[in-house]
Amino acid sequence: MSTSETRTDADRIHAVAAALRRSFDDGFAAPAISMNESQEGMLAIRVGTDPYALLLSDIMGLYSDVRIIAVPSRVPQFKGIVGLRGMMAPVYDLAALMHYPPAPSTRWMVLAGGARPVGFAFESFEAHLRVPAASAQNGADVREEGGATRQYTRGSVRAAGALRAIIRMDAVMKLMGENTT
Amino acid sequence: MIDNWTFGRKIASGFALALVLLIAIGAVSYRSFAKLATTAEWVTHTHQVLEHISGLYGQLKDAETGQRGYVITGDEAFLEPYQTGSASVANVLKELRQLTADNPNQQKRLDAAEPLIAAKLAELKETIDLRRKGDLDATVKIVKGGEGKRYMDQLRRTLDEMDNEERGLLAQRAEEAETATHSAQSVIIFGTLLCVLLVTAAGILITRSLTRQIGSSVGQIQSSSTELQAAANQQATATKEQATAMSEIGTTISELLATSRQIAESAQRVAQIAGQTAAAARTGDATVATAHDSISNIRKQVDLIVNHMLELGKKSQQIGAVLDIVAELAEQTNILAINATIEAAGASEAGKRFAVVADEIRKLADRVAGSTKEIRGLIEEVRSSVNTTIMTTEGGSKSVDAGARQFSEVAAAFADIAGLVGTTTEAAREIELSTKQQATAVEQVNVAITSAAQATKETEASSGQTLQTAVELSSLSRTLLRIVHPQTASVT
Repeated sequence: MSTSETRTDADRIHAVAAALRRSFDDGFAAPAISMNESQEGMLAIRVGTDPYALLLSDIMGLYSDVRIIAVPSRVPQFKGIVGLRGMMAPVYDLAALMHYPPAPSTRWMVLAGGARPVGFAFESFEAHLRVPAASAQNGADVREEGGATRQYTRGSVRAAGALRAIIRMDAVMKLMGENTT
Repeated sequence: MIDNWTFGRKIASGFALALVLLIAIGAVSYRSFAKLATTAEWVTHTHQVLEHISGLYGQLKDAETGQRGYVITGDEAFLEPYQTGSASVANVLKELRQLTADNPNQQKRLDAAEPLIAAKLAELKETIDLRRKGDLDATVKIVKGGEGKRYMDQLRRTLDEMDNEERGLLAQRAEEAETATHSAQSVIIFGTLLCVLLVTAAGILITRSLTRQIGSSVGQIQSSSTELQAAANQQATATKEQATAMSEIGTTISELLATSRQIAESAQRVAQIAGQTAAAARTGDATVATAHDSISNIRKQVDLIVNHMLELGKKSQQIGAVLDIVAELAEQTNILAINATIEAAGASEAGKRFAVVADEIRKLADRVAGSTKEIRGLIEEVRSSVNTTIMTTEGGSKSVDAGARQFSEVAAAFADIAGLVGTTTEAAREIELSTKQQATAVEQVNVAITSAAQATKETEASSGQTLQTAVELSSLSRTLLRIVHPQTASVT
């Protein structure tokens, strides 16, 4: 590495730090803005090798690196139980529920289910998205290779560089129920 | 057998045979002629004896004639035959006795005739004396007494006997002479014929043998002369080629001489350059020592750089650890913001404002996370660069070590170079000296080659003469062959 390249990299780091500082300062200086009703919050995740989107309105929270206690079960998608904020919740492998091969490691987990929350662990969390509500509601269904629609998705949205099928948590919960009964 | 004889022996044998025959014929002829001469001498001797007998009788008759004339005439002039005859009788008788000394019969007859002759001469003298005295009667008486006539008759008979014997001897000796003549003629004729035959036979034999021998030799000479001619031709050709080669060698030697001189000059220049190189090598040795010190300093500086880089690597790792914390904080902040957003969605209007703040926090966390990733990338690049720099520096350090070792080797090499250049200088001087000696030797060789070229030219001339001699020899052999074997020579 030459001296000029080292200097250029240091300048870039200083520039990034300055931009962050300025943005942080601007955050306090800018006027308060309200949430735009017409935008929908989503999480961009990846199950197996496919990109998917989760509506923030369908989940209760996002967690990482939670400690899952393995419990013996006849359900192969069941990974164990987790303790969060003084309550217990079962955790299922989202990829296995969606008929993907079980993920080797599941660092991320979302909590859903309302009064009886259930955790769904998955491998990769990519980004938090805010997309127009219209595009979230009017996106076409993503079909299987044979032409059949996926029963646990509804619609799609193009975000974070990919066309993402929107996972219906109620359908996933139904799949979970079918698998556990 | 004769074929094995030498040329001289054959000719000598021929001449010896002819000589022996000539000697034999000569000896026989000499003997015959000697015998013939003896016989002729005896014939002549007999004729002399006959002449003396006849002369004796004639003298006595002349003396009687003169006595008678004087007695009759008394003239002294008639006494001249008497005086001549009586004076010669004794000599004739003496000679006759000598001539017939070898014949006892004739000697006996002469012994008998001698008293008769004396008596006759005495009777004649008595009558003459009486006549001169004038006593004619006594004279006539004596004459008429017939004493003288008896003497003469007895003498005549004796002399006839002697004459008859001599004539018999004459006939015998004539016959012997004829026999000797025939013998000599026969010896001459037959000896000559025999000699001719033998000499002819020997000549034919010797001629054939010599012709065969000389012909064979001449044939060999012709063959040899032909081979000699061919050899002389080859020699002449070879000598020409040799002369050409010698000329080329001379040219090459001249070029070699020039080259040797150039080499000597080059060797001299090499010696000079080697001297300069030796000086430069010594200077280079000092320069290398200085460079070695500089490299040692560089080695120390490189070690310092490596240590600094290792420190920089450690600092980068610490920065990376801090960045991990920052990234984790950003991620947790993001999660918290998302969860705050979710919680705010179910809250009232204040929850919505909280959601706005949470979203701002989430954005800030996202940007921090992005920046952290970017800074992590930069840190990784810095660490990679540091590692690369360390490796490069260590490589440089090793290179410096190697350079230092190489400089030591270079220094040793310079020392070796200086020594070798000294050796080279010495060798170049030896080369220069040797090349000068070589140039001198080449000049001598050039002189020798020039002499050899001259000798080759002379040899070429000699080869021409040899060729001419061979041609002449071949022609001579053909001539000889034509002389010895005309038919063979005409064919060849």
